[in-house]
Amino acid sequence: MLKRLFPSRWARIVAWTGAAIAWGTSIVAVQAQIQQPATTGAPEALPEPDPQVQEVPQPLAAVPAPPEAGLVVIRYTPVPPPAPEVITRTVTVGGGGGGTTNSGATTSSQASSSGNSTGSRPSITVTSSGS
Amino acid sequence: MIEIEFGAMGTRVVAIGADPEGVPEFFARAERVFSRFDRGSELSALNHDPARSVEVSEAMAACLNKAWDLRNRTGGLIDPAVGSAVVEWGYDRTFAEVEDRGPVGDLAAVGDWSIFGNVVARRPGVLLDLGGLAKGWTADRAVEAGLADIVSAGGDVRSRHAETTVSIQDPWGEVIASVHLGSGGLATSTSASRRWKAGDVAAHHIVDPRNVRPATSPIISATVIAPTAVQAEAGAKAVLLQGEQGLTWAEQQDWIDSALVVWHDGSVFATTGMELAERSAV
Repeated sequence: MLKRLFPSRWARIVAWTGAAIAWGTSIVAVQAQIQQPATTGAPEALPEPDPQVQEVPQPLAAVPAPPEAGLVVIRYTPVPPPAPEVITRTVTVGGGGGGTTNSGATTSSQASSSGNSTGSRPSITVTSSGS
Repeated sequence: MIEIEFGAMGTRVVAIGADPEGVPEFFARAERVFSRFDRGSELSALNHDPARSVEVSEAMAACLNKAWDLRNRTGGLIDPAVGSAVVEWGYDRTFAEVEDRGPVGDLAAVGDWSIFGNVVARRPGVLLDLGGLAKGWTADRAVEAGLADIVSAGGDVRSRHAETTVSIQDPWGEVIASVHLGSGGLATSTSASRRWKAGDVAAHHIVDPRNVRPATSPIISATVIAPTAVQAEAGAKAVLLQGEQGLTWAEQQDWIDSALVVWHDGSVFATTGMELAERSAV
């Protein structure tokens, strides 16, 4: 049948070659279509977030990095952290200097001192709790 | 010895000495210079001055020069120019009047500023906040001026008395250590007080200049001993801001004698230089 359609030998060669090329091209095209992502329908997936720039709470260290000379452990009895505390207090600025000892001031209940300014110097304790 | 206590600079001040009566007036004068809540203060005038360069008083220049020095010593962790961010987070009035507020959006980075002699240069709009530095500086000046032997301004202590001992309290109010201070400065900085809500964020008064947000640190309270109260104040805040590396950093600073921290779980650690008079049971 092929000989009837293409009586010339060269015509058959050309026909076979053409058919082979068409077949090969179609296979390549189909494979490419399979590999291509769908361009419609579901939106393109977002890239995974970079974990380094993601803002997540960092686990708090169990102990500080020890200084070269060593770390002094004063207390290691973990207790729950304090509840956030809002301090509201009235602040009164003391008046002018002269006059009585407590001009515009109140006697401390936190700090204490003993003795007087003469003789041996007494030990004095004040408190630091931060502000 | 006479001891007096009074309110100034948003905190309680204790002064001890043979004749400390001049200390309240000294603090009142300092507050008129350094308060950012008093519209008539020199700092308020500076913060609202549209000029790029402003000549300031001797006291302001001295305190700002010290702040500049401490900014450099702490690698920018202590920076008065964080004032703009502090205001944005809601601490724009005396703390007694601070209220919870909504969420805070993106904030601009800390602005540049500098001081040459008594001339401050900065971009108009950069708000300076001397806060704790001013308290420490004023305590230093009161003692150096001979007004008292010991001044404690909200935990920023300056002493010229050889036998001074300081009891350090944790945020729960428990004395965790007593340290021999003698002549020198000591300050405690904590993120457990002066707190409020800004949206979902638990805001507090220690704003980290690196990200202009309230500091998040495993340290809830830091105490530093240094030659002066203002140095101790800056050192304590820098230790707190550096969290896990805070004590290591403190040990490497030749201007810091020793440091102590209260960890987030209540544990207490210190550098070996901390001269403990006594301490709580381990």
